[in-house]
Amino acid sequence: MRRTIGLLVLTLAVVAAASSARARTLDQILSSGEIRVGVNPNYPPNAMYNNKNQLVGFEVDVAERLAKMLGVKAAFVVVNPASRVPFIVADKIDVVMGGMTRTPDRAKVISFSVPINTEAPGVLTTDAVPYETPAQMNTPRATFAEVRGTTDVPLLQRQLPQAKILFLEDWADAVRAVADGRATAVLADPAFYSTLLGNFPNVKWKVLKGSVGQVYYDCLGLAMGNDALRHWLNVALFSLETEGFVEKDWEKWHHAAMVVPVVPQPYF
Amino acid sequence: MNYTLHFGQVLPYLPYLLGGAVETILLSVLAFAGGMVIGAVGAAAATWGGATTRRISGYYVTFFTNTPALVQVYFIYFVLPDFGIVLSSFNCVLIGLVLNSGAYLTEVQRAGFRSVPRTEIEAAETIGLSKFQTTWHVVMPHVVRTLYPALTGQFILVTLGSSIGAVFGVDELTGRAFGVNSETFRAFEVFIVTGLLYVGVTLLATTILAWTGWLLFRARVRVL
Repeated sequence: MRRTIGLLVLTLAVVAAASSARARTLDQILSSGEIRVGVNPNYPPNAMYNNKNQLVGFEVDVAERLAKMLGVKAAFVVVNPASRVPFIVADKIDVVMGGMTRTPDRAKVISFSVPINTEAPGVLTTDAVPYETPAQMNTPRATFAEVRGTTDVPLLQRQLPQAKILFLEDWADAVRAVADGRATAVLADPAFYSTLLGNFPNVKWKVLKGSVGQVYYDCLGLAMGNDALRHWLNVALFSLETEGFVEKDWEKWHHAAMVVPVVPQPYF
Repeated sequence: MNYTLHFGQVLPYLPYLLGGAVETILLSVLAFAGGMVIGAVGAAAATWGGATTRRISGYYVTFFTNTPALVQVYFIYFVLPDFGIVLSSFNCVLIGLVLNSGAYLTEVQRAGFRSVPRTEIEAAETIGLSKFQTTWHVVMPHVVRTLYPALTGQFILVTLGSSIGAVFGVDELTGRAFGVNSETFRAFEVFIVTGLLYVGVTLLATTILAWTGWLLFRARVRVL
């Protein structure tokens, strides 16, 4: 009995010692020669695998440019919506992208850089559906297919409270649900679903006119209190935005300008 | 690790998670009930059936125990619509879990069928009970009583396996936990609470199983 307790205490001590990692400061990143960036390859074309199985996309380009400005290499780590913050907290990555929308709840746990792109959600549906404007879909007969945990869900619950929601794991499943007839529509920024529509050539897609009311700002996420890195990121992002790199790279991957552009502010 | 636990931030979501626990119980009880029915039929077919029935039962068990439940539900959810069969998320996951647990329960119950003394089966035949009556009145009480640990184990596996519903839009406990985690970013607190809720759900589910066994088959078993 005493030996079991002793073993348990020893294990806890080892775990506690091992987990006392703190976020790497800017100086530590510069000395190590690499910055670890978390991206989510399930959000094409912000990040995805090309046919040579390499990570490419808008966010990959931005991260590589930032790494070049720092004079280090960018090491990419694949994350998903559930693991992106635990990885920051456990110091497995320095910075996280992947459509990291800035919200007050999330700001209690991690800190954010200045915004890099916006999300302006719109309603995607098919010709088979009788609705013409988003306001008409505020009825229990309309079901929206959404990705669990995205900011589109509370927006939907606020703006269209009567509509039902079907929670799925990623945008490919959500678009497929609408194509199969399981759901009436998807509420999301066109950037998330535009590359997926080509998979369904027999479906006549239609985007409803009229906005659902809110623009979200996506930033780079990093550990709470990592101020030197955050300050540097803000300065670097301002420089990338004013030189036009962000706009041009976005258009290269999305084949259209950002619906609502991010206006770079000189003070932050 | 520079992190402070704040359970208070997750507490407002507790009613939402409890609603998910109710969905999980509903899904797992229905899946297990369906699986037991299929298991009893399959086990009876394997023990008393002719060569073809035995072979069909064997193929069913081999296929469903050697493929992952997730893959089976994926097929029902994403492939069937291409053939015109579109079922709701809950029904897809339920059917997948029933077929999957039915295969495992066929094997478990087959062991139980074999362990009933031959003399009791012959006595039942002598007094003119049909195969169905024999199964219900003679074999099942025996199976539930002697195989209770195995059945409970399978029930817990079905309960934990119901978490695959999260991938298909069933609003059960795991799915809701993922949602709360994405909103608050407090993975540690959310998943500690969810783990504890799952322990509560499995305890409740095994109590329901013991109670059902008593009601249907007068089989008295210990729960904890």
